[in-house]
Amino acid sequence: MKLHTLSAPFLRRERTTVSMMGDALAALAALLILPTVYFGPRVLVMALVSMTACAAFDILACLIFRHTFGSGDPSALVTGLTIALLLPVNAPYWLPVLAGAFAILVVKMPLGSTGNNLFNPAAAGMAFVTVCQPDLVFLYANPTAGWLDLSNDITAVLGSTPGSALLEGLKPSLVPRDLLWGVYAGPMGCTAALVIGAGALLLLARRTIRWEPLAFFLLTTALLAALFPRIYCPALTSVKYELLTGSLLFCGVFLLGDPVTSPRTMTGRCIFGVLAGALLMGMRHAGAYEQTACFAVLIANAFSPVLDRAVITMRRKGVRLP
Amino acid sequence: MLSAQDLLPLLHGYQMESRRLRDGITEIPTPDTLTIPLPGAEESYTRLAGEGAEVAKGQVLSAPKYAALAHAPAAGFVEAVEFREIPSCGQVWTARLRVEGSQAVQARPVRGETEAERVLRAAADAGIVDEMTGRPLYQELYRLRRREVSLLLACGIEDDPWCSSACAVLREQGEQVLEGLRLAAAFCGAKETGLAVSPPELRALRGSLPAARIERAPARYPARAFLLRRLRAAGTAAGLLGPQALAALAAAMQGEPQTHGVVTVFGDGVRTPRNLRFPCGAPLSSLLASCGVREEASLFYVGPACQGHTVTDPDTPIPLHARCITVLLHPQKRRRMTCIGCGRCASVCPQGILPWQIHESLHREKVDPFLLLNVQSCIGCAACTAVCPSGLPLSAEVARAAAIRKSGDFF
Repeated sequence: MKLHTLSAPFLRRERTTVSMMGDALAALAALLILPTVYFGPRVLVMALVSMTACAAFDILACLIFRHTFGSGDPSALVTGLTIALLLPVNAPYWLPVLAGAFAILVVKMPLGSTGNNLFNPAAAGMAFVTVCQPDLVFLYANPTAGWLDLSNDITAVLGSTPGSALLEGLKPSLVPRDLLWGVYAGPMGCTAALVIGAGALLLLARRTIRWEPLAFFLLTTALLAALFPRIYCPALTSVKYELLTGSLLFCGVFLLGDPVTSPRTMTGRCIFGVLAGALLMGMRHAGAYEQTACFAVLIANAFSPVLDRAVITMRRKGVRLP
Repeated sequence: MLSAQDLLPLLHGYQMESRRLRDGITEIPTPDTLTIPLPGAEESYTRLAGEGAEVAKGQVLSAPKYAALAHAPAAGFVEAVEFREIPSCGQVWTARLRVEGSQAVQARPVRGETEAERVLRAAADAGIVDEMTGRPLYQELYRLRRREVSLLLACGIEDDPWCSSACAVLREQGEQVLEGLRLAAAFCGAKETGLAVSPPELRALRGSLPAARIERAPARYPARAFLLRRLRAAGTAAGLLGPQALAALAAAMQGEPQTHGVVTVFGDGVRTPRNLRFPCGAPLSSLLASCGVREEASLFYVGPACQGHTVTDPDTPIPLHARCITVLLHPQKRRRMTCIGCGRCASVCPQGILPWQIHESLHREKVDPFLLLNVQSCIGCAACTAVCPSGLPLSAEVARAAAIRKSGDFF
């Protein structure tokens, strides 16, 4: 009889960090299905290239910063898949590699790898390539024009995105069914609102993400879209287009929901959601780019330790906060 | 939230609603050797029986100043007095007793002018330990009197879904527990008494003790803390005492010392799970002998699943307040990762502590004691450690933070 010595509690953990990241990977992988139907196998190749690059950079960074690797931490895969889903399907293959390199080697690892990063690596990687190559990042293929070939040439039939139309003050001409199923030009994984919603429900039910940032983010953006529409239309139409086009919903679920870079107190998370929503809508009104969610997430991330600290200080002074 | 229902799938795959023991208590035969822990008896003059001394059953072995007295559960002679590790007692002095003979100290009813004096004297002289907290009963009685409790409850709540020793005592010695409860309430000044029971045991106990007031425990772990909080919110200051200690208190009024405890032996490594009455300091092997341990068993632990201690030596003595012993075939090892800030620890804490923040503060270069908020109120339920997806020892860190705050030497 071989006896073990373990320390209490002697309980089976049903949720581990790895299983939480597995949930996120599953929800993200579900977003690959519809683009694959519209654009063909290039979608899967893009995702694979991005994930492989991020995993490779993760191992490289572990060697550089002398961390131990191989502990089964799949966060680099989540980063890779998120980057792939935020890029257009017809982007050159080196673009996700560049974004992944910045995300892992500059943003994640120098701050002490998983659990210690201040900024969401995927959002930072996307922001980097958006600033470096805006013409490639905002060049979207049309999903109704058939499958793309696997080569790197940009021969795709390009489509005009509702995001750019809104930026120019024009009303996008889309039927609601196309909006929900993602049959319009846009970032690879950010168009199918229904699938993103289903993924969000899965993550919320499994308690991998918290409801507060997402709810307050959507509430703020909807309110601002209704009060200050960018196009001449009824308030609800403005809300529909602002919420369902672009990467807003995707970023709200997968980037703001990231527990590492969002505040850990409930009050902090609520303020964080409001802040990100207000920043995003401000950038949409005043900014030059059509997709600004990553920038809003990054700025809000910088505030999350401050928000936590403020909430804890208030608690110390006897103010009852959740 | 970590409710009891949530706890069930966590607990090594047991389906406890169907498998909780409803048997009575079996008494095990007295083993040849007993190793009786003498807690608090660091000074040599508090250890009354030296090596080679012959002792009678019920004779006092140690009389420490701030801990419970230890009595000999059987007649015999003391082979050795040694310092060793006992689960849930830490490192204490022990007396190894070779059992032989049948002399016994004659029990005499406790004397005293008032009932309160008699109760206190009985609790202290009989060396009764409250099995729910592991502290001497007389200290618990003082604490409850100081807190001016108005409702005193005998605690039949088992936080482990498979542990049933408290309920077995309530079923088998119900009248004695109620008598002990009446005495304790008289000492503490509590006007009302009752039983606190987990929902699955409610009906059975209502049948066997119809006269008693029964409080239903919440289904969320740690149930005792949440029950007390619920009662406090309703304006009742309540106190909980273990049923074994209360039954022992009733017996102690006649001069009987507490020398036996009740423990549930359970787990998938045991063929026949049982509730056992055992003499204090009986070796683990003697308890397991009557239950049949499987060859493949790989983890033994004494105490509740969240706070228990692993045991690797079959001769380890079991203290009076052990309550449950679990034998498992396939324990899950916890791999430690970095905190990802999911906040589950804070959401399950019954005391409103932020364990993630304590973890973060303790891992800074310089610990700021003013950021270690609320740590003194930790009740050690270890719910935070149980739910942490990164496998961090959060309850140990909160305890460390409390020690830092208490020590005061942080400048």
